[in-house]
Amino acid sequence: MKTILIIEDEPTLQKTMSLALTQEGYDVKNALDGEIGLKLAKEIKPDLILLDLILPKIDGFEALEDLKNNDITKEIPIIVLTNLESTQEIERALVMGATTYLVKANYDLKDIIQKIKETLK
Amino acid sequence: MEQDNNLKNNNFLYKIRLFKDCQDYNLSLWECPSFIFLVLGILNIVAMVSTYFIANRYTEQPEIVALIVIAISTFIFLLSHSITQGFDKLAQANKMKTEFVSIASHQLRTPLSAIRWTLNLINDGRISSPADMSTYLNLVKESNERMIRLVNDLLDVSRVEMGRMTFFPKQTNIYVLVEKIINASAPFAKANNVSLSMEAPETLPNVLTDPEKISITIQNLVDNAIKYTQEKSEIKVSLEADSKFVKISVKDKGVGIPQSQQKHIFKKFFRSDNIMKNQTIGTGLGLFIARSIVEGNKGKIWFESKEGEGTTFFFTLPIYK
Repeated sequence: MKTILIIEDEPTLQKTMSLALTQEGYDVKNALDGEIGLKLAKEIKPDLILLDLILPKIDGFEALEDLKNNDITKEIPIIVLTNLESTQEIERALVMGATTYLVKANYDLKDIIQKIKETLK
Repeated sequence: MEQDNNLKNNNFLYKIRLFKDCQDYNLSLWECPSFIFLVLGILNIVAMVSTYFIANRYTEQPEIVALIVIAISTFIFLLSHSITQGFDKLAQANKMKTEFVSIASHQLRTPLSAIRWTLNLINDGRISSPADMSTYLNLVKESNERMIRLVNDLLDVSRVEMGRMTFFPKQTNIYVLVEKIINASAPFAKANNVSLSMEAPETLPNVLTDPEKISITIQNLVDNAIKYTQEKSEIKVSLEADSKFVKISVKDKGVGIPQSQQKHIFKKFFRSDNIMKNQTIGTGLGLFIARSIVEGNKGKIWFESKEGEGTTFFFTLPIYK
């Protein structure tokens, strides 16, 4: 069973995504802030990380940088899932090593699950 | 487009950043008010000098002609200055409006996404038990309420900025009003592990205020105090009066406002760095609206704060006479 770590501070978004992915057969772990997210990522070494950008304690960009500079986590594909969509933010996240950049409000859960499946192939 | 950018990058005038605003608004040089103003100024000087020389050659009193030309030129110069100033102000207002729409839309996206994804779960048949269904429908309701609050705040901001926020001041017992808000906020405070207390003299004069609007301010200050207090502690709301005003204060031992950011705290959409680190949900509109309401009720609002130690907000309302 593949493990997905969701780093998301908005409880409803975290809850809905978590339920859908669990039902798709993934082992889902949740972190409500960047600090716990980084700690969990290093502990459980998930197969994929869904990363929000505006996060308490450590924001998404800092977390992304840390994850990509750490030997344990640097190979883990990271899908940035956020509601920020300026060109600079998208470019910055992709340059920093994010696999995909998705704007939450523009996608249904099934579309995001599809992207996750494609990434995990 | 790329050519356009190259042109801007290579152009001397853009390089010296003299017309930075025009560049920001994506205006060409001949559409740029400050550039046109400069050209008008140069043309004026040329016209003045050449008129003087021509008058010198063909008339007997060139000085009078020159003086008339200088007077007319100065008038045209001042007129064009005020026209370009007007354009600049319009452009600035337009830019602020665009920023406002952009921030507001972004803030609406989170609850909109939450509603979309929860409805996805329901539509895709992922929720089976009625109990779960009820939980998820409540999440939709919460997101919906958050959107309504945000839209109401945005409308208040827009009313403030258009000068259309109306107040209906009347004789108000401020003690009763504060007590009601504290009682209503008790569950939220308890959920955040803080207690609310109230301190007031035995007798307190009535104030002249719009009770409905001022309740928004008090509620906002109490909510902020609860939200930004992390450890178990007490929030104290105090009331006191002098001969002209009743002073209301809300004191917390929360995260405080960093010194460097205190001057921005009443600006709309502003949220300090330290609260963004702890509480990402919030619009940054509450204090902007709170200040407008207090000032609209002929009061004053201010605060004392130290990062890591807490904040006390104060505001005054005139005594009803």
